[in-house]
Amino acid sequence: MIQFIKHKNIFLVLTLIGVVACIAAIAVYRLKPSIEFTGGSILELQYKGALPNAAAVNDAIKDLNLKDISVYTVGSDSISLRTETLSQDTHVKLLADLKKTGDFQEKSFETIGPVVGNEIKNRTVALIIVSLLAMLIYIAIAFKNVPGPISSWKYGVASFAILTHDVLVPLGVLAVLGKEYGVQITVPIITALLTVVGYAINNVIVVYDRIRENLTRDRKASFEEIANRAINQTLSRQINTSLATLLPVFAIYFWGGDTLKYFALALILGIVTGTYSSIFLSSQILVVWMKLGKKK
Amino acid sequence: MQKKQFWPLIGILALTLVAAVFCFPQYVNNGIDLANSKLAWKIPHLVNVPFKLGLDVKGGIELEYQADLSSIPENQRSGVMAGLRDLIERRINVYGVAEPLIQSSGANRLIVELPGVEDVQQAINWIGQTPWLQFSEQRDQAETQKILDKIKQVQDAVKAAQDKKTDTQAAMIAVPDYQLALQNPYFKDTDLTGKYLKKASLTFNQTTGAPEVDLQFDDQGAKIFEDITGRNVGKQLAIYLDGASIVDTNGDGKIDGSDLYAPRINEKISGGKAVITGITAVSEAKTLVARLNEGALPVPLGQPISQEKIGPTLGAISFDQTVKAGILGFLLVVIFMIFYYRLPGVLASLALTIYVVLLLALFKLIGVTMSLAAIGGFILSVGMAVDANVLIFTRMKEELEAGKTFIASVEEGFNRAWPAIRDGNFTTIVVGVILFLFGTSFVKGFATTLNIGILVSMFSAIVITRSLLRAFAGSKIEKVTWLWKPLA
Repeated sequence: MIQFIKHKNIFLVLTLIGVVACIAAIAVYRLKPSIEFTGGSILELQYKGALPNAAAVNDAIKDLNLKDISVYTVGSDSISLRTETLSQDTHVKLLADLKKTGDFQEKSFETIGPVVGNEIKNRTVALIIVSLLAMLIYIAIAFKNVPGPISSWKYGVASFAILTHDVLVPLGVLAVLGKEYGVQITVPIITALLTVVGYAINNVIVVYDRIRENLTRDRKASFEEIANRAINQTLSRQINTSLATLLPVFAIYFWGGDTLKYFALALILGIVTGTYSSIFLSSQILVVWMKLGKKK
Repeated sequence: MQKKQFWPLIGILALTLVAAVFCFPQYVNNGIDLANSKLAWKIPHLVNVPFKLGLDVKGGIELEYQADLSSIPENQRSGVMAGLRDLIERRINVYGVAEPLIQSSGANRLIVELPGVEDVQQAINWIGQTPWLQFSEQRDQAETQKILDKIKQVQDAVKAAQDKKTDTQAAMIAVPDYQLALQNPYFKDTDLTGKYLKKASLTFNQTTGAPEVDLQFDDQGAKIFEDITGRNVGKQLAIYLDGASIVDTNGDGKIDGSDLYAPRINEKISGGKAVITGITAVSEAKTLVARLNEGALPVPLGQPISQEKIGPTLGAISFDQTVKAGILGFLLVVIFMIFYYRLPGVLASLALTIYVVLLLALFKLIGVTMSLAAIGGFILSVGMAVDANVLIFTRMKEELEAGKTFIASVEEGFNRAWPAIRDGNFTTIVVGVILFLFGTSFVKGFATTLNIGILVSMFSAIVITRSLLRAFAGSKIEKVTWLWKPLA
């Protein structure tokens, strides 16, 4: 049996460092909302010859006086250009001006007016709030009657803390990627993270269920022993299920094309974090909490 | 194998075969072709219902419009929106776009999807024109004849030029007064347009109960209408919208030069109120009313408030890549399951294959739009579907290690894993349903396939995997313990 509880302090300190780093990353780099929320336009151009650099692109279109321009390379032969919301006329002018940078084909173009952007933002915020509320209610019901030394509401609070952790870590990583590679927070990324919430809560519940089951069967063992046994009993399930879910998601990330790439990345980050916290965090938090309570 | 375990397997096999044939009928059709050619049979082809593909994989343009309804009274707004929708649909049909999709969204939005269209500017031009309603009176016979003669003259000139392989356009222009040939030989425009029409409404004749259409002109329109009707009693008054007949009169499903809607003027009408009678179907009257009102209350659509263009190559590439990722992901899961769980892993992979086939058939049957998001949700569900099997096999292993018989371990494994499977899928479905209800189109597409996938995966684990496992009870393979032992 692996001693997950005995070494709990190592995991808790590592987690704490990770969480602080992620919060710092979010605070310093900020999460960059995509044009879906702010309104704006995004063009993807596939070049036949060499790719122009950002300066050349900026120079070619400087007469249009566009705001919020950013240029990124996509793959080996394309660039993506983001600007403020473009009218159709400006769009046509922009394409004409860009001809100076080389021979290209417009792969895709998306423009979202500020009204629609605002609407998507509101809807997404509502979506996040409703999902989290639903999970809170679910946790409250799931742990209504737990026997043993820890009262049921503590399971609920612990699960919620773990869920927050499971969302915070991917967001921190995305903030860093936003700084380095211009990754933005898009509707697909939020969808992925909410899906992970529904998925990760389940990992935690599987462990807590085992603790509950062990508590009713074995009344002599200490809570630490019972928790450690529960982690070991569920270990292969947690790892195998995560691995089975990760394999297709990795396939999307590596071979699935640009559209779903960061969506898959958010899923990967969320699933990995969720699996980590169910093994190294969920029971450990309960044990520490119980000990703190006893000392008083 | 005992008889009791035999029938579920046959049922599953039959279901899978039907689903597979429904998904990929082309292979069966190829076989039918072969049989027909070799044996002179005449077996008809199976119907191939195509998958509905999203715009992001087909390539095309999506435009979102917001209609300015500020000048329209509250109670007429939904009618105006329906009219606008109909108007856009009619215009797009004229240009021959395959499978366009026009949806209302909210109180004043219209989303227009044009698969296969590349030129955004052109699309905006088609859609953006303000509707133009025109009333036209009959020409007198001499005039009609003059135009028909001119048309004949121009046609002859063009044909002669074609035969001589010279410029047909120049030949046409060379005909004196050739412009005359471009006009409608039977009707000429009057001053009466949609501008003067206050509204049209559907009524029913008080004695016969037949549907009728009431037209109400404004004061200026009433005078013009009085003039027109006064000089055209007994003749026809043609109604055109956007330069084509206002309705499809010959019932061929499209509006073109062969259609003409022109009620007869029975008497001089003063006061600006007219009634069109002789309409047979209520639906016909409704269409007429809606289109007259489009012309009467032209609501400018303006510029789209958001637009998206996916080049056809990008769409095709994204589709290929995502499908390839799905197949690779599926294979990776199968390899992992067999490597780790051995024979149960093989059975789980078989169940997973059946799961994929059933799910694809279901998507086709319900008509789920396969956008990239939807395919992503589907691929994710393949990974999640494995969870139930993992839970069952883990429990089964514990029971086997505790010294229970094979069949007892199978049954016990299912019973003890069931609460965890149920709860686990429940949380994912709760989030999935919320995503579906509150999400934007990407989120909806993803949530649809994920939710359906999770429901089918429970069926797959509980019914298919269990039936497959039970089939081994009492067989020789049951005794080969290493086959049933997971790696750890």
